[in-house]
Amino acid sequence: MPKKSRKNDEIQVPTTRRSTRSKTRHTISTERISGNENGSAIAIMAEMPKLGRSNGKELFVAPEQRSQWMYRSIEENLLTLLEHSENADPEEILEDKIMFVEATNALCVIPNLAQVPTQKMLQAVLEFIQECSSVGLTASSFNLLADLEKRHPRVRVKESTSPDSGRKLAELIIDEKVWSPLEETCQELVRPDRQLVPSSPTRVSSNIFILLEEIVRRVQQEGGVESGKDVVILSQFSMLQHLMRLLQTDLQCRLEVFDSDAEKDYTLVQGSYLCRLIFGLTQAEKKSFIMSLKSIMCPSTLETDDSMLEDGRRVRRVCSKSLRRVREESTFQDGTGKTSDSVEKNSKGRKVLLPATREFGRLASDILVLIVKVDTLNQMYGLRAAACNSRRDRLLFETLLNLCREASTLDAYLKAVADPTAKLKFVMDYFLNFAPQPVVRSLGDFPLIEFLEKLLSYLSEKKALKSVVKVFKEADSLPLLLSHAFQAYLLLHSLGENSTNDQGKNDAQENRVRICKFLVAALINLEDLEGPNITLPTVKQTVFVAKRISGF
Amino acid sequence: MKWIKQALARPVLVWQVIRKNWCSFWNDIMEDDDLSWLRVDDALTRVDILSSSKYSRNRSNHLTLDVLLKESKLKQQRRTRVSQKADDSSSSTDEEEDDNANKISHMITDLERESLRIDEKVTLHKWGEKVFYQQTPLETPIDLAEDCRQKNAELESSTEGLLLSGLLHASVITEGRCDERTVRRIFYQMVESPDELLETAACDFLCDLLMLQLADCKPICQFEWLPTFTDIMNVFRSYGYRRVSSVPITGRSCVSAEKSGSDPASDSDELEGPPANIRSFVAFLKSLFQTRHVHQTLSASEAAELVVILVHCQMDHCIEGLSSLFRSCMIVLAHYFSEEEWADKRLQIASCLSSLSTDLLNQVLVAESLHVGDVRLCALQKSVVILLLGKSVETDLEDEADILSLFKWQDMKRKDYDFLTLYLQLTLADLYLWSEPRLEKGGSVHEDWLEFMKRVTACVHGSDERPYATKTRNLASFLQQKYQH
Repeated sequence: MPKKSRKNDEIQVPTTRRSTRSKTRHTISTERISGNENGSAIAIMAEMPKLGRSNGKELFVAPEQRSQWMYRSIEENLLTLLEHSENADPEEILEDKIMFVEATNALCVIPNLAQVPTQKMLQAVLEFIQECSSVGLTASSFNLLADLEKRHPRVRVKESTSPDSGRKLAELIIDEKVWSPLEETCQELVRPDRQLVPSSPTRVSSNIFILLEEIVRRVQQEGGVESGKDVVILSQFSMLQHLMRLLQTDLQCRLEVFDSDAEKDYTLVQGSYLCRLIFGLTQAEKKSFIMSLKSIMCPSTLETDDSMLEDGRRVRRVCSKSLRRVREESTFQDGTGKTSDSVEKNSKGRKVLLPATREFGRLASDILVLIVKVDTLNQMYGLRAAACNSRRDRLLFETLLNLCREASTLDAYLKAVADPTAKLKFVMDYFLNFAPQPVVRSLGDFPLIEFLEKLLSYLSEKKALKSVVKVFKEADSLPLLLSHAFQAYLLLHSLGENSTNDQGKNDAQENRVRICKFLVAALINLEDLEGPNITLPTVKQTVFVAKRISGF
Repeated sequence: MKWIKQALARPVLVWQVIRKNWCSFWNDIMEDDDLSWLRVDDALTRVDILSSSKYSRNRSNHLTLDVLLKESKLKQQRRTRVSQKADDSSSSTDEEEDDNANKISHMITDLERESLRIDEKVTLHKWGEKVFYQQTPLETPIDLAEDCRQKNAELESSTEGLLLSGLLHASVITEGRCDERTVRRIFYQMVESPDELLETAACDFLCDLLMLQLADCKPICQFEWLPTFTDIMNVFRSYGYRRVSSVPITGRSCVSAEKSGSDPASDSDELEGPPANIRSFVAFLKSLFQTRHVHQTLSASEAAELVVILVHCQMDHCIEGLSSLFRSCMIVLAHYFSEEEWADKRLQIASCLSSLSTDLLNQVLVAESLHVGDVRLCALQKSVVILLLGKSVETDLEDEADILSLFKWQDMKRKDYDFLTLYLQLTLADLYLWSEPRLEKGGSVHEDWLEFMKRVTACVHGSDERPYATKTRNLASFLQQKYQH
């Protein structure tokens, strides 16, 4: 069973003067494997903070030992840094904010027995990102939020061993003291007068729905994900990444406990932020949310201009320039609406590098993957949960399926699904939803790999293929779907190959050759049928790889 | 700490100089007899001050009719005299007016020049350093320009085409190996390609395959080639990275020892600074460092050299937006070393880091960039801090008691006392002491530290106009609070 290297995942917290009281050495983890769907063995690259598994207990000792007075005193002292008069110098304000970030880091991250940040402190740090005032402040606030989230997770899993059966038990620990912007969004959704509309173009919202709207609006207005001021792009990216991390951590912890729970208590999953957010929306809002994600994810807005591809060096220069922003462009918008030169401007006007613009699309795809996971679980277990949400339909999944009728969206989504099992499952669902009923009936209900083999065998006949091709809106959709299914199959096959004996390996090899043959036949037939309409090189590429692997 | 960067860029000096220049300008005008109409009678001014002070004093007690009458008379006299002076001066000739105008314009020009000079001086206090200069071509085995042209024509069979569709990933995993030509090609696409899609796809491909492992920690894919230290350095150099001042740890030819043929001053803006591909390159390095047990491509000395480079890169403003990536890469790299290697190399790295810059502010920035809540980097930070503090007083310091001794004999009442240095020293000392286990609350060092903070707040008044005095006072006040808890 494969897994990612965990060698350096665990990072020890530096010993501080307080550690002389407690001689224990704590560890916090910085990253973890993420993206495992349906408990699959495969791991993906996305970064994910590991939750306080072994060290959580110790982390929370310090605040309880401290007096309430001290607790309040630290918060008040820190917040005093942010009090300014109306006419305060913007540089001075920025300086104090950076000092606040550093001080919070020193108190809440660095020491062994670190202070749990209060709601006001966390809100203040989040506010620094929201106000888009400076690249440096945004970057350091984002780093601080990431560190705080690792150090003081709101949700974590506590593992123990059952004294009777010796079985491993997982318990969900929720620390209510740790504030989360998602909690605020959930509460906002309950209000009847809620408005999920962006308010200011120079401010980034911490409400994920509004934030996505803001990103879409900027992309539409300014002609690309990378358009706009440096600091706004970085702030939007940082905020989206932070919220995504919170959503992922929360859901993953709950799923871990849910999976290990013999009784499958679905209320655990229902209590996740993602479920609360998604099921708190009206049908129209859900559709709009998925549409926003699609707009960000769609690669057409991200591609560079091919007309520039004439000379390697020159292109490199031009593209690099377009991705790097001149710091001088950043302007500081203060509370009074007065715009002054950015306090970030340096003497030589050096350019600022930003994370890849495609990261926006990747984050949007990751959110969609999570939504589909929750939607699937809701379909499976929601009915059993006592008197749970009445809106148990698969609107989200159906909306996604409809969006994926566009080849570009389908490709972007399937590229985001790292888990091969989940990818195959999606392909299966896609066919079951769109293929003509006689085809669906003839395919029957089989496990994933067998279903794929049956499907490819069916499509390798020209007549059958013709009946299926008709239902696809775009000619590129079917080859894309088959190509991604094939990739997922190859990955599953390679992983399974190592865990079986020689006989099993031989069977798997034969199976692979068979699938490759069916695939090649299906794709060649498809090219014959749809030749001029297919714009992507998917067919030729897939045939090339399938032939190479199977050796014919 | 970053807030110092902005603190030091304060325009206090500028204002002081402007005020000084304005005063001298004013005095010049006042000395000119022809401009006597502008002069206010000294006696009158004195009377006015006296009367106003008297007025306020009396008002605090009680006002009598006599006092009010007296004040009214004085005001009347003053008004009359001022109007007489104005009438006299209005008789000056046109020529004199022209002379005055010239004089004033000269003075304004001087003032502007002086202001610019001071502005430059203040700018020097801004944090950061230019680390990336002009890009240079990277010797790659692939022709990127040719690839770009053929990209669309040959996508079905090209490595790039398969890479973009994801089929290369599946194909390589199925084969269980990735040949040298393919890895090289993808690596150079990642570090060189102007196409963001290709750059990120190449980065994802390499990182995924590096990190994917089987249950027995064996890699799922064997790489027939991975970049060596020299390859990594070549990429940094092609991105324009230069470090001229310090001696490399490896003792071999590397970026620091090599000087680009181009003069940094003549760099064109177009190719100055690293390309956006640096983010993919650093992300790849992070994955590479994480898999040392499988892919040991660097020796301890080479890894140490890279720690220094990663810290140094962060001194350039253009990297600020990627600080999160650099931080995480640095943490992973710090854990690349075995315990013995780290014990061996830590001081060497610290020494290199402490000599990265000669400016104390940038030295603080170097120490601050190691402030990421990791035990190894924290130890490294402390070694750097103690070296930097030692350098600032040209003495060897060993422990927290030595650090405290720095602050014992400070005469903060001196008019020309250098609060800027004290400010930076306090910041460095805080970085060291806050993570020092031996600094027990109630211990002598702790008490001395708090005592000094009290002394700073006592010696420096809130409205002290000496440069950085109030900043230092505020810092001391904050540190006092911090360490009391």
